[in-house]
Amino acid sequence: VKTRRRSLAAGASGALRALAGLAVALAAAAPPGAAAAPVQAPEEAIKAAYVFNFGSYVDWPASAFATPESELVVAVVAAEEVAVELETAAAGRTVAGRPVRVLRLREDDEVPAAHVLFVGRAAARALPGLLESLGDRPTLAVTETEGALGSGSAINFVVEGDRVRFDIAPAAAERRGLKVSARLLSVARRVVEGAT
Amino acid sequence: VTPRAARPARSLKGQLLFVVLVTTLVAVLVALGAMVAYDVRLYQKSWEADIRTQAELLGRTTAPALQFDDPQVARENLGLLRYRPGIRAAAIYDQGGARFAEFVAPGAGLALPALPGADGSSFEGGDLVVFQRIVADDRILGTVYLRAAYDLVPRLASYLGIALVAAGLAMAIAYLLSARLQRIVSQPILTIGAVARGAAEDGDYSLRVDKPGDDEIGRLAESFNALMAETQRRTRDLETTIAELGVEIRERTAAELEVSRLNAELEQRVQDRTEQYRVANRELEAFCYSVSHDLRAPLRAIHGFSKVLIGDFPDGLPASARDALSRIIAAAERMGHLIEDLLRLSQVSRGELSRQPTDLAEVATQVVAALRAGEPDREVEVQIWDGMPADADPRLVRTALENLIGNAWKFTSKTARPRIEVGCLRDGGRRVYFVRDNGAGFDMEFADKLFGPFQRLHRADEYPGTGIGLATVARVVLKHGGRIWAEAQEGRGAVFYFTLERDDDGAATAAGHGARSEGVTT
Repeated sequence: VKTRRRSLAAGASGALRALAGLAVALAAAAPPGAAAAPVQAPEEAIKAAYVFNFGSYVDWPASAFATPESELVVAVVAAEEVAVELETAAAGRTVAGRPVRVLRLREDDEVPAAHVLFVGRAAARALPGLLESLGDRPTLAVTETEGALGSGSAINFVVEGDRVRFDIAPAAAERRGLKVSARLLSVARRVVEGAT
Repeated sequence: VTPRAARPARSLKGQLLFVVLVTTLVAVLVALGAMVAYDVRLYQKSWEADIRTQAELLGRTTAPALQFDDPQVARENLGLLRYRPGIRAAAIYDQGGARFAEFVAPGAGLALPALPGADGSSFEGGDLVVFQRIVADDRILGTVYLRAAYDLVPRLASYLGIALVAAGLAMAIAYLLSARLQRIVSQPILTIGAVARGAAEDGDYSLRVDKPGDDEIGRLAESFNALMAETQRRTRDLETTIAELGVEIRERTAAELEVSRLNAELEQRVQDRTEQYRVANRELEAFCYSVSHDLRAPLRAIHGFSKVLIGDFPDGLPASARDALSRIIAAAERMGHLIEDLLRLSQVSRGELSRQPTDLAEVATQVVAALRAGEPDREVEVQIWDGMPADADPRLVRTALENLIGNAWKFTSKTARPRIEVGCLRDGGRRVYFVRDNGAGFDMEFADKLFGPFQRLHRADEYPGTGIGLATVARVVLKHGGRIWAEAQEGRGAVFYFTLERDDDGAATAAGHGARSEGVTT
């Protein structure tokens, strides 16, 4: 896919909205006084953007969607702010050609058929049960709780200093019929092999 | 005919060679230039495409690093470029335009642009610079910056080397080929030149050139041969004409020599004849003189004895005898006069001229005195100018004046108031003497007969005379180298002019009017 854009300004309003989410992380890499405005983006916004981006590097089995244009469903448990940021970012955007729908769940809700399940830190105790309830369904589990990978999560956020990073367990994803791109592995903080 | 060995004419060969070499050089340079230009363009395009592909690849590789804010990964990705020769610097800019990761080839020492430029490629300081946006899901994630060496100069240098070698090789081959091939063109022309030189220097127009072919040079050779043939023919004609002229000139010279020889012969003959005439004339004069002289003795006897007869017999003779004797005496006297005149004429012719200062006035005076003594009863008015000097023979001058003044005396005998004038005029530097009278005169129609011997314009019974007097005068004048002429009118008198010097300036000095008689007798 080769799309040319003359400038960043021509990148349309969608780009500007994403900018807010990325700004904090990029500010660290940018030299002091660089052109990028050091807008302090909340951790939740960054995580929402990352969740969004994961969709580009994970292949779901064809059976997971009714049609090629079916929406990508992201279920969010116990993370209201992330859900808000996701909804904001999803407006008018697609991931691999699919629109994104965000579902808000409480920790005791039954997990519906979703492609991505984000479980907030607040639901850490309920996490094993939630993951258990997924069974073999092709759902990418994303968590922000330490040791979550051991409970069957595929991707787990870690905050290092002021940066948001993630660990990944590709085996956990593959067990549910998902394929994780090697390019995504290359930017993970840690790739956990052979997990349950 | 074989032409003489051609001398080396470097100019023509050199020019042909020059033309061939220049043409070859231009052709090779143009071809090489076109090839180099094409190749440089191709090289640039392919290199550009190559680097853009590299940028695209790099963008895709670094997209996750940008999306998940991992400059370390991006740096590692860029770091792989050190295995890619030609890349001198690279950088990744994030969505906001800030530098996210960078790479500078060891030793390149390059500064990276602070902000990403527009998508596309450009040349900067001999390097190819490419900016390429990183796009995922229709969103711009960032920009790739690549700077690659664009090795045009070494490439051009190597091309130049190839061009030089190729041009040199082409020139060498062209030189060798043209050195052989140009003989086709230059050899016939050189041959023609050699033959023409031979003709010009030695005048040998018999040479011809072998026709090399049917092309322009062949036609040139043909024309040249025709020209030579024509020149040869004309030269031959000219030589023939000159020879003919020579013969003619010789003939003419011979004829002229013959003419001058004949002239000389004629001259000689004239001289001989003149000499013969002179001798004959002298003999004739001698004869005349001796005859005249010898005639006098018997004449004197006839005259004397006739007188004796009349004297001794004054009455004893019949009247008729006396009359016959008187006639004999008169005839004898006339004959004596005639003989005396003839002798004088002869003396004038025979005698040598001895010039000395003579006064004609004095001579004239003596002559007039003698005439007056002869006829004391006549009344004649005579005027003689004073001082008429001359360088002349006095004896001959006297004879002349005796005749001229005697004539005037005689022809004025019937004039009422006779008058005689003797004078001298100056005509230029020459003296012209004259004797004028107012006597009978004569008809100018007969003026040319005046000075011939025995020529008379009047009857003897009218004016007695022998007809020898003026002939004698003419001879005296002639002997002095002078001239004599007369003017007259019938019944009104006559004037006789004469000179005693040789005419220096010809006839123009004559008195200018009246009859002239020159060289009257011989």
